Amino acid sequence: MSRSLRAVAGGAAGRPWLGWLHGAVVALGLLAAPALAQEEQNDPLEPFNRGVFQFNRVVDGLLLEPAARIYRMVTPQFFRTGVTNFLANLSTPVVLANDLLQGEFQRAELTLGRFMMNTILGLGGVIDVGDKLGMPERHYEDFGQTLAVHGVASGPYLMLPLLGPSNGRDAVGRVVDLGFDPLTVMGVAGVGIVSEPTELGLARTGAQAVSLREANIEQVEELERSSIDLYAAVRTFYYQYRENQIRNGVPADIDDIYDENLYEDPEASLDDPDEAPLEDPQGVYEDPETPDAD
Amino acid sequence: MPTSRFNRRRLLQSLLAVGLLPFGWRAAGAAPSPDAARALIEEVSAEVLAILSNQALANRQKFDALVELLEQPIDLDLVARLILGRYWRTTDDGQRQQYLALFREYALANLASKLHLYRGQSFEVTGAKVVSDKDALVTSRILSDGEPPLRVDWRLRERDGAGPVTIDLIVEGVSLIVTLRSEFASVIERQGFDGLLAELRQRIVQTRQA
Repeated sequence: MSRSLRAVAGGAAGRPWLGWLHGAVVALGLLAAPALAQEEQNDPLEPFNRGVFQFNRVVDGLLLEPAARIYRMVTPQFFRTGVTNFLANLSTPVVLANDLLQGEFQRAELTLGRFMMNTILGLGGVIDVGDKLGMPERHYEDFGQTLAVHGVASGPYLMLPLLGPSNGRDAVGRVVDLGFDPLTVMGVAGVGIVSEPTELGLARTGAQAVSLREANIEQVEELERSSIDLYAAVRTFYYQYRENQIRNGVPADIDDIYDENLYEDPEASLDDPDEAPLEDPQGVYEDPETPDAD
Repeated sequence: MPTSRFNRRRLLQSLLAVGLLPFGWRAAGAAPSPDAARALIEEVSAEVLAILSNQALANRQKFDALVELLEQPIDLDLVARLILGRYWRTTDDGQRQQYLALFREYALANLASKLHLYRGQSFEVTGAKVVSDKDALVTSRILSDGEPPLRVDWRLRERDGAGPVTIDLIVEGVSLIVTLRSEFASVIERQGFDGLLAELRQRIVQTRQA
């Protein structure tokens, strides 16, 4: 049994819900087939997920967004940048562990080098010294990405209460990552899963949430305003964003979506849709669902 | 024509947020050359920036100038059609005309509502290459103070002898077309095609009020 699975199973002993999560994820077929392009629509729990999404939006409106606005109001930009850097530096051990687990040794070296410099020369991580010295942009790894690199499919989409969008694979990854975090393991900054919750741990989690929310106030506002189905927008957003992280930013191979010939012969005129012969060379769209236009 | 070493800095986030950049006709043949694709992105972004950073213009004037600038190289109809994907051929002519008109309004309303987001961000093209037998990809970064750089990729296609046009905008791996396709499909599955048209109408009204 790998170390990661042991961490999950072992940690589950005193925390029943973790065991439930582990069981649920396996039961939901996390370790099933490799990822397909269509997987973003893998959402068998949609009614449940939509409910949780509504709940999260209420919590966001009551707590998180106001907190983020106050945070922005009472702090200058340089302070918030310092907080962002500090929190990112704190999560470095998790990134490093996953760099190594993915066999990305050059990236691991960058992660470690930046951590040393920022911690020692950058006031414990408040200043991103690596950035000032022209190091490549900071990158993030987590156990969900490590699983993906080793061929684990994303599993069903999950909207987690308070934590937001995820999927079977990434939910397991989150828990495992807590086990990679020295602060959690030592019980210094626990949040109640791998170790007992501590004030420091909860403060850090809260700071991460508010800091991230503050950085995205406008984006969320715009998305809410322009989106015609916010739930679906967030779902595909999460899927594409994670795929991009898993590929370490290498552009996706999604040529099909740019091929209008897959949908219709382009020579057939718009005025005459019925005459358009169906071109479907790859058999991708053999079974279209007819929308109930009424 | 700018060479591949020529770096134009800056562009505006608002435009990115809407994704309302030159969209084109279907491919006429080979993919655009990386240099030509890069030149187009640099040229259009410079003109857009000149408009946005012009203090003498009110938002309404900026909006009009942008629409005029982008009108010619845009084929919003094709974008709208790619977004609809397989649902395109399940619609009749009347529905299509309505959809195309509403999509255009929706895109313009979004553009107008995002003009205020420009806060002097800078922009730089970082590379360009051919990615399929029809398309080239230009990679770029948006830099703003105190925030990590934002990676933006532009997918371009050759329009019948008239040079490259942009057909998609991909921000940190998130494609505009894929995102809207997923959203629109979700609405169609739940409320039918007329439900999509109704949602678009409602969004347009709300965006204008905001």
